[in-house]
Amino acid sequence: MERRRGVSDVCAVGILLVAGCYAGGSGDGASEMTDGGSETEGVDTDDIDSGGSESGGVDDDYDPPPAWEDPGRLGPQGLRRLTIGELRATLSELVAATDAELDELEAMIPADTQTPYDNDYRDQEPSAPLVEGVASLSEHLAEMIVADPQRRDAILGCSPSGPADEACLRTFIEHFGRLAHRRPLSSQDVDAYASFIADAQADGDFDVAFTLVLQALLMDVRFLYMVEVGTPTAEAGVIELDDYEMASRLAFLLWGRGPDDALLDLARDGELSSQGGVQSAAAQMLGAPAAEAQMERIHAMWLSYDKMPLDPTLAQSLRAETDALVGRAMQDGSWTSMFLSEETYLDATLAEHYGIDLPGGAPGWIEYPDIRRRGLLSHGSVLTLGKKFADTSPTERGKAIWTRMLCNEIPPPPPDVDSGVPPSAGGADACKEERYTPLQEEQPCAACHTIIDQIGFGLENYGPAGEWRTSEPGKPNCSIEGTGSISGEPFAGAGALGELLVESGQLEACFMKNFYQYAVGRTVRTDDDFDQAAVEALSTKFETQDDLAEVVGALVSSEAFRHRVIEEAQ
Amino acid sequence: MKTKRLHRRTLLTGLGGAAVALPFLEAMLPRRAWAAGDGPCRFVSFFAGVEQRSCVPSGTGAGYTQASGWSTTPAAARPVPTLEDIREQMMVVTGTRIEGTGPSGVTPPGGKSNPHHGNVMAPMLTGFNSEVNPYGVAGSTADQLFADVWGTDTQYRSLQFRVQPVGYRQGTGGRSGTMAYDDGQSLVPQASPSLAYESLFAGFVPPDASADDLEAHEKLLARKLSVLDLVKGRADALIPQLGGYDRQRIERHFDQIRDFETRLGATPPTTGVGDCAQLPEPPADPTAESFPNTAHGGSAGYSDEDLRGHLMVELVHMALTCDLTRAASIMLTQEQSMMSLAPLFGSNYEMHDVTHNDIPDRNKVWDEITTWHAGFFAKLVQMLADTPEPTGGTMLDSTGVILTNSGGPSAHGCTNLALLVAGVPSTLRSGVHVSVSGHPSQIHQTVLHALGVDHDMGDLPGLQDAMLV
Repeated sequence: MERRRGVSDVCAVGILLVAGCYAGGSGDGASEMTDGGSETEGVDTDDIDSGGSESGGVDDDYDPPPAWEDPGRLGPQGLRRLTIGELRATLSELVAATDAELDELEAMIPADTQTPYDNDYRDQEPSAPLVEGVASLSEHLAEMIVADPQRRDAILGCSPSGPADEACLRTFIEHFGRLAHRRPLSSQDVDAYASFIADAQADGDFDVAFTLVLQALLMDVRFLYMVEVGTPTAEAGVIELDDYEMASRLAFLLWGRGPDDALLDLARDGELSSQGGVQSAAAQMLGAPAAEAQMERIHAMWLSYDKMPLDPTLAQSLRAETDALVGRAMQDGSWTSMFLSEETYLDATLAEHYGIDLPGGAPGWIEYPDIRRRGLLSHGSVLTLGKKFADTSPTERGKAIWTRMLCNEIPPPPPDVDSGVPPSAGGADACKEERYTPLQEEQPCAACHTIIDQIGFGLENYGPAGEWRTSEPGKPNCSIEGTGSISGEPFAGAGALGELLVESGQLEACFMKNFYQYAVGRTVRTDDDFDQAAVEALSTKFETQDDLAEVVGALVSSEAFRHRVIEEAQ
Repeated sequence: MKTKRLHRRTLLTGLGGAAVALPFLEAMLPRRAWAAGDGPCRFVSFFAGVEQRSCVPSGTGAGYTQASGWSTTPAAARPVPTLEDIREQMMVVTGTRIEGTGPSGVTPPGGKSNPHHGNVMAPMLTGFNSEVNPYGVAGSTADQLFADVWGTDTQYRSLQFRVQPVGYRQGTGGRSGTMAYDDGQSLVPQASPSLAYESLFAGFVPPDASADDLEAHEKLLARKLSVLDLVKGRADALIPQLGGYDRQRIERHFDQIRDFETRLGATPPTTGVGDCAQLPEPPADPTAESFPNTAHGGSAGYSDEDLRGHLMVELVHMALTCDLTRAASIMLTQEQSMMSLAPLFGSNYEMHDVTHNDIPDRNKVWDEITTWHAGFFAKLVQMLADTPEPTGGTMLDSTGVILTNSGGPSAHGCTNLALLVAGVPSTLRSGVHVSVSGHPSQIHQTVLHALGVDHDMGDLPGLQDAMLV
């Protein structure tokens, strides 16, 4: 059932939540804010072929404008390399590598840059450490595999009868090669890889050939990059993907790894060449555990709880809590329920951390005992975003919510401000409200601080890792009120803020902008009409349906997704 | 102005990829001349990801007194030469500055935009305003301008190392973790001493190797090369099928495969000539350990950067000695480094905190931090000064070494910066403190000039004559 909200709600709060602060420094930040579907900032209809309804209001018969779904209507994208996360997940599938093995292998290649997503192709400059690292990685991986003959044979798909068993080697090349390169190898390629059997013969050791073939397959650009050759279309610079490339696109976006045999078989059988075929494949894929894990990973990068600066045991429990909530929202088809949930998933570590009773002590879902906690914003994972000065910073927390969750912009502080020291008004012993007061009253600080600090103050009852508190650490006389406001709307605590964010509609628009960024492997371009139109349309759809799987399914089964506008050379 | 170099790959493609002898082209001719020393010219650039507090010596000329920020050695660090030990081999150059974004919102030429972190390294090391390229860095760093001329016939055109392997709370890599740029292209550094070792010494054969050892070595090498050949061939076949950015990306990847193949296939250096020798295998890379984190709660990390720094300096020294490369950059700590100060400096804070927080013994700790970074500069300078050039003199005679910090003399400040410079005594002064004005990139440009490489750097190019003999 579609959730629907009154237009007046959308506008009233929606407009309020985009109020900007000063346009210092580079200037026009405020104009880049997403508008959450308000009427005033509709997309210029001249840029859209079909001129679908652009009224922006929400009604029950809403149809998304078709334009963004047409071939060549997603903004340009460049060739992307597998991220370390994708490499790990893919190797884990290909050779059943353990986490410990993957940790060892991962250390051999340069880390990905996170912005906050790990897959921005503009940051994937080929380098000597990468190429040499992959050579070392594949060499070590081969050693790990041949050390266990059973495992080796499972990966080979046969038991070599002797050092020169070329048939067995070819079985491996054809099957493993198709998985690793995500399409069948040509017979010439199979021959080229199979020629390594001569080395096995020379040494009287089949594993020599296995090792060399594995190395050659994994060092290949068709393994390391999401190669999309496609076929040219009438429009210059736009290609149409073939079915295998489509299978890869689906697998990396929905599962965070390369396609499996079943998906490659669909490609082989032409099942992915029709929109209906992709729709049904995507629906199946979205129901798999790998899709849930992938959405959990994307959410974790969105709000940066993929790397919490906390004790690893606590961090792991917090991650499990939030993953469970994201997973449930996916299953329930109600994304915004995450922000309102009256239940949470706890283990003993978290029960103690939060001071909540966990009957029986075994990990599981519990109902929150009181109103102090509701939804994602009361999770320690997300609340670590405001951790600073060994305490919480209302500024940082407010800024994170304002910018990450609502996609508004906040310019950096003026150059002469040292944001590395805590606000000092009233002296070190003063309570936090007093210390932060001048920031909210004196210009030029006040323009931004009145917006963001007030959001943070409404969450002050949660400590740096989300623990409940009623007074400031080490200052028992500084009691915490825990009240704040967002765009003038007062609130107290995570549940109330969650409601306001959900009502604004801007939350979904912002998440969709983030999801799009992840899907295309770069930030959304404010000067690209295709980007803007696609984000706008997907956001509106998401806001109406609230079902992430549904919207993602619509994106991946669109003609736009089957095509790619190739980024120009730099 | 930027000069566009001819990419080797571009040239081969232009000839249809046919295996022909490279034609004699003016543009590909290295413009170089031997410096006054007898060896080839070399250049090493260090970067320290911490701002300076007190690094400007008192007095100028030869009689200067070293500042506390260059002479307060942390007791817990492994021993290195002090800057006093190499006083006669080096010079302190102070007085340069980088302007920030003004009240009008305009960032001046060579300036850093707001905020400081993430925007200061580009102007510091290239001389270009950090707003020139919103996706990265414009222009080239000095090590790359040098490598354009001197890196054409060594196994490595240049080496890029990073001592601090991970960013800890900050995140690894990206603009904070890369200090070398070649015409706007970032050169990702190697952050593992053991992989760096493996790469550098892959071709070395021990002098006492038996015939069987040699045969095994040859066979292994031949197999590695045949794997690479297959990988390279497939990449090459893919390139014509791609367009735009895709094609460019795979071409660059192809370049890296080909360079790797060339390195592997190159004749290994003759050990025993001069001081070139295979170093003993380093220990496994130290892993990150957690330490208390007073300012931020949770924990802060340290991966024995002290040991890693020593290993990487030794590797660079040997790579230069064996002429595997002539250009190197060593990023000691990431910009805005969040490495734990606990093990080396006895302070339960992150390195970045020292520039902001009122931590116990702040000035002493800060001085120790800047001195610790300078220790690696001193170590390399000393090693080069102690290594005879086979043809006479020492390696330092024809090597330029430079250390740049990410700012100073206060948090986010970029005024009166102090840089350390050593080498090429025939052209560069040493044993002195010189105070100049201008932009720090001009100090880099002057060192290049001393090495016979004349190339304008950044928005405010120029030479600092006071540095020259």
